[in-house]
Amino acid sequence: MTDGATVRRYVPRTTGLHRDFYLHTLAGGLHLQACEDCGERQHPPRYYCRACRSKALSFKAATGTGTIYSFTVSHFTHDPGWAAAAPFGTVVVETDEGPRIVASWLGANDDIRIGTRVRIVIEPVNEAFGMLQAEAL
Amino acid sequence: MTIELSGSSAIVGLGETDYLRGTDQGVLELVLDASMAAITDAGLHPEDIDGIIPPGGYVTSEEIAANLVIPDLRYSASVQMGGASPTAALQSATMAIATGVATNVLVTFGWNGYSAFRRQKGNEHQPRRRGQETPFIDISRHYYAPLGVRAAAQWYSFYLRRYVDLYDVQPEDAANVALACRRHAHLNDKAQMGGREMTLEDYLASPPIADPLRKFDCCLETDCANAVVLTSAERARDLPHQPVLWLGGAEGHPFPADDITNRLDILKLGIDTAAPRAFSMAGVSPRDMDVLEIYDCFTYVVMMQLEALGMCEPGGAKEFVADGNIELGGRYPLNTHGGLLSQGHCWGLNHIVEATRQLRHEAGPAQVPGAELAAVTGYGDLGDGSVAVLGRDR
Repeated sequence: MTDGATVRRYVPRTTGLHRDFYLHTLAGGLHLQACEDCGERQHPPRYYCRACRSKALSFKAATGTGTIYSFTVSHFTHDPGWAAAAPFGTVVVETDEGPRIVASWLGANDDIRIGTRVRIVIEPVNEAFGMLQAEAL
Repeated sequence: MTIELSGSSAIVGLGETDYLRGTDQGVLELVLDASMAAITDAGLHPEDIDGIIPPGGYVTSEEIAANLVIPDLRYSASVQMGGASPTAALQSATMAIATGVATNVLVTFGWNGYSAFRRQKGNEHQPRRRGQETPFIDISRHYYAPLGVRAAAQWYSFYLRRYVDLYDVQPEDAANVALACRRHAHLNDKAQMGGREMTLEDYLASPPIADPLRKFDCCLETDCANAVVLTSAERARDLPHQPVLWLGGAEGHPFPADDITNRLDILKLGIDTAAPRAFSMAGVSPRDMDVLEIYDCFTYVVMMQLEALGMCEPGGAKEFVADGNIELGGRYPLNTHGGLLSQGHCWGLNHIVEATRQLRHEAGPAQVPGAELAAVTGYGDLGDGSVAVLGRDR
C-alpha cells in the first residue's frame, strides 16, 4: 500500500431478511428475530421459526448485551482492507436472548476471554449495513 | 424394494495430475487429464463412461463429456459439500450403479487452488476459474466477511477454540498430525512437501494464522485434479486391477449447516452423524480399519474427526495421535500419501485415490502390509462430513 492510501474493506450489499436485520439494528440497536407465536428468538434471520416453524416472525430489539462464547484472533485475512488491522480479534457473542452473533472485538486481543460480559456496539457503514462490534462491559 | 448398496460397487480406476503451486493449466484441462488417466487405468474407454459426478462449480459434467467425447451421458449430478463432496459422491455413484441408472461412473475433482487466487501480472494464460458461490454464501457475506473473516481457518477457529479448551488440546498434540503427514510425504514422489523436513520445533515456530491455528496446521493451496471410476462389483472383477469395494458410506450435515455459530452443539460436525451410518452399512467397526485417510484441511479438524469416527472417545484424539500410532508402522497409519497437509489439496479425492492404492497393495514404500480395510473421510464448507469404508475384494 502506498502512503496515505486506504484500502477499502468489503462491505456487503445487504439483501432480503439480512437487509431487514441491519436496517432494524442501525435504527434501534441490536435486533433479533422473534416468533410471534411461540416467542423464540433466532439469528441469523430465517423465514420460519426454528422452534415452531411459524412464519409470523418480526425483528425485536435485544438488550445488546451478552457473553463471549468463542473467538479467534486473525493474523491473516483475505481482505486487504483488514490487513493493516491484523492481528484482530473476532468474537462469537451469546446474546442474553440466546442467539449468537459474530462481532469485531473492541479492545486488546489478549483480553479476549470466553465468558467475558460484553455490549454490542453498532458502527454504521452505510444506510443498510453496520458493523457489529463488541466491547467488554 | 430396498437395494443393498454395501459392496455393490467398486473403484476400478484412478488418476491424478501433479500437485503444483503455479500452473498455466486451467482446471478443465487438469480434470480431463486426471479423468483420462482414471478411465485408462480402469481398462475402459471414455465412451464406456455414462455417469459423471464433478463437485459443483469448477467444471461441469457436460464439459467433461464434450472434451472426452462421451456421446451418451446418462447420469450427471453434483455434490455441494465443499471438501466433503468427493467422498459423498461415492455414495451417489454407487446408488446410480446399483439402480441401473449408470454403468461406469466417473467421480472427479480439480481446481486451481493456487493459481486462480493470485494476481499474476502480465500472464494472459493465468487460470481464472474460482468456482461458484458456496452454499453458505448468504450468511458468510452478511455476517462473517464484513468483519475480515473470509477464510476457512477463521471460520473453523470458532469451534476449534471451544474444542481445545474443553479437552486441553495443546499445539504439541496437533503437531503429531502435521508431522505424521510430513513423514509420509517423504515416501511419495507426488507429494509437494516430500524431502522437506519438518521438526516439532519447526511446527511450533510457524506463524499464527487464526488462533488456535498456525501455518503448519493448515493444508496446501494446490493446482491439481484427481479422478476415480466406479462400476458394479461384479463387472469390476473382469477389469485389470484388484477391485476395491465401497462397503459403506454416508454424508452428514451439521445443523444449521450454513451458520457455524448457532449450532446447539458447536462441536458436532456432519461426520458425527455420517460415521455411524457408514460403519453400520459396511458391517465393520472403526477399530477394524487398517488405514485411515482423514480429511486434513487442518490438524485439529483431523482430531475431531477421529473422535467422531469412533476411533477414540471424545477428547481422546490427543492420545490417539501420539506415540506414532498414526504413522506407518503404527496401528492406524493416517494419510499415507502425505494428505492435504503435505501432498496437496485435492478436496480429499486424493485420499480416496490413496486408499484405493493401499487396498490394491500398490502404495509402494508407503504400503501398509496386508491392508484390507480403509476409512476415508471428507470435510467441507462449514462442517459437512462424509465417510467411505473401502475394502479389498477377496
